[in-house]
Amino acid sequence: MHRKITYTFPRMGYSYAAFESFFKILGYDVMVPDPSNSKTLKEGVSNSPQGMCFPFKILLGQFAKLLKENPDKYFKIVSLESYGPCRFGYYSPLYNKILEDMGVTNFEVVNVEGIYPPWYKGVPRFIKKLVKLVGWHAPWAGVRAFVIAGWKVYAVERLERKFYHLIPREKVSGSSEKAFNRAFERIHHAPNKVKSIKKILNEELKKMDQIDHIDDVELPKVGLVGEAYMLMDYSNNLEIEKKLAYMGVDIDRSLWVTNWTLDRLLKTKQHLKHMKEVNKGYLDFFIGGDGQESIMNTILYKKKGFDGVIQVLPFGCLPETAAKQILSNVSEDYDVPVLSLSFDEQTGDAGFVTRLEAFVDMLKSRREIKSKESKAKKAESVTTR
Amino acid sequence: MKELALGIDVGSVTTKVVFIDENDEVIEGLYLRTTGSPIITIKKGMTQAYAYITKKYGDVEVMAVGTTGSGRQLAGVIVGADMVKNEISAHAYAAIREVPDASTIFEMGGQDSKIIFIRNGAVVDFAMNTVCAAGTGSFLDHQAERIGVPIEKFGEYALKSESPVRIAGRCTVFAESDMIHKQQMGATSEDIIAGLSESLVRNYLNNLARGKELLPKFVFQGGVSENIGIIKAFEQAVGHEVIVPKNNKIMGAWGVAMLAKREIEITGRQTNFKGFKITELKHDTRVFYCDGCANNCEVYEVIENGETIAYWGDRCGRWSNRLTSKVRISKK
Repeated sequence: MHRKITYTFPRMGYSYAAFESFFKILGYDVMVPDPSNSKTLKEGVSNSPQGMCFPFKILLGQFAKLLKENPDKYFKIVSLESYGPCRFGYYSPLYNKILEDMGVTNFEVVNVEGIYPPWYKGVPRFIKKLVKLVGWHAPWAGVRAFVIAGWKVYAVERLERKFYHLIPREKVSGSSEKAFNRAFERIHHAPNKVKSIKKILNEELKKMDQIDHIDDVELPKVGLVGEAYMLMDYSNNLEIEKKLAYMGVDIDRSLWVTNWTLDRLLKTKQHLKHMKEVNKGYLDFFIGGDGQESIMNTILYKKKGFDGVIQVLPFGCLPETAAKQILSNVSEDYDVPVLSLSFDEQTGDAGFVTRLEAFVDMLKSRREIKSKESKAKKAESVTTR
Repeated sequence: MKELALGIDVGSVTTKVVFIDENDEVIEGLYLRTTGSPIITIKKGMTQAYAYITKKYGDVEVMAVGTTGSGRQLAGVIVGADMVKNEISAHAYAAIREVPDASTIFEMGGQDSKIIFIRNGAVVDFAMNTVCAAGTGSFLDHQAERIGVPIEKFGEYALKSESPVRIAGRCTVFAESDMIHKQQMGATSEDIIAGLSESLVRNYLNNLARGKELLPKFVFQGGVSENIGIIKAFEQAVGHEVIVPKNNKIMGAWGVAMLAKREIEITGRQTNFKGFKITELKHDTRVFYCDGCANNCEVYEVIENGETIAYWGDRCGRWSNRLTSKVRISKK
């Protein structure tokens, strides 16, 4: 039976715009699942095994809602679960089983693996998987779709970074949010040409620069580490970045779609080197998920002069739970405060905001002490001279 | 005319209303049960406190208002707060004022417990209980009721015990079944209560301190610090004297009152306080699901005398931006 295929995929925050255009360029229908909200979470939580990791519940809920609402379409669900001894590797068989038990059958799951060394085996296998996913296309069409989607991911990331940079500095509260939303919509619906994406990106970045803001302020700096999908999708982590930014914090997220795919799928040399040197004595081996990265990035943040680190930890995620215990040692050895926030299906954010606010207050008071100490030291050295 | 600052701490179980004078001393502190409706409790507390103060000082003027606790946002909108502060910072501020060289603060409230680490008068680290109710006042309250001992006498009972039984402290469910088992085996109420106090402290230190260095001086505050049995258990566990400050139950409200006063003094602003007339106004709250986009946010609306004074819960600002000037009180 030949039915027209509709593609769907994990949202990954704002990057969904890029994935969407990838399939559109190749001439397929595509539907983006809703961001997690009370309905998708309910669907996911009530149908998943109770002890399953939270990202699985999120994704299952999003897909289940989409499939149920469009029973006349046939879906291909794209999954990227190529690594890991952690439960991430079982996602696609579980989707199959659970969705079938729920009585939904209009789908198939396609698992795209990363490129593993040695490359002469890895690359053909990767291409084989891609062909299975999108069917056979002329190579140039595939490459073109890849390049344009890549550019869109990059553009969205640049805009997002600018957005979080501007929020604590803007003079009129909310002005950068407006600018970002407009810019994102423009990139989202940009014509499929690298040139026009570049042009829109430059225009919008310039416009965002023109927002009334103060550039020379000293803000506490916070780095975010944790599980990739929780970090990258704003609807899963209760918009932790935006909340922190509005509290007047300079934030930096350690995992973006660009560096995540480049580091993990292509295994860049710098990444491997960092992993080996920085993690020495803490976590020397791969435990799946992003456990090793969490520890590595915490230490790297400290070395870059950040004031604190927040770990975004989905409830039930084994690698991150392991990393959490090790992070308390890291925190002591490197004198960097680490706040581990565990996320589950709750949407009430009162307790969560309390912890964030207290953490930010603490970072500010630590800063004051440090500046006092350094002043006292200076004064001392002056008098001793 | 007497100039005062007001601090309100709306906790999960109790609401605290505190008035302080120009020297930051507490002149009136009320400790009330929140019982379902924080708005009614706040108003009740303010009416009571107002009656007491006007009787004592005649005319008063409120120069600064601060709110804290899990209901701080709601309370802040209703009374018109100058400062809405999280309870960890508020508790730490009050504790440092009371015991300037404190290093470790234990705080146990109704629904949550925290540990705050202080070095040189500034917070350097903190931890708050996450998914567990063990080690909180509600659990003690529940057990007191089950054993049939009034919660006020809980501490005395614990002190009478000579050989406390060992009770699992990891989880309230296990603790309870363990207690029932020991009770059926013939242990006395005193021994069970003492054992429970010890296990509660053990659980608290395991969960929150997590092997971090505990340095004296220790300060213990929050509702549970009324319980002499728990104080003794803490002293045994840390091997050092544990100080319970004189305003132990209302430290959060006191702290935020001082913070709000300091804020007003530094910035020189006028207070946002709406006056004591708010106790006579009618307040309603409403919850609805926004249908603007796929997020389906749960939006809360606060209505004062038919006029909406606040929205929150929306991610995009569709609702909360409608009333910017009134709602966004010193968020930065």
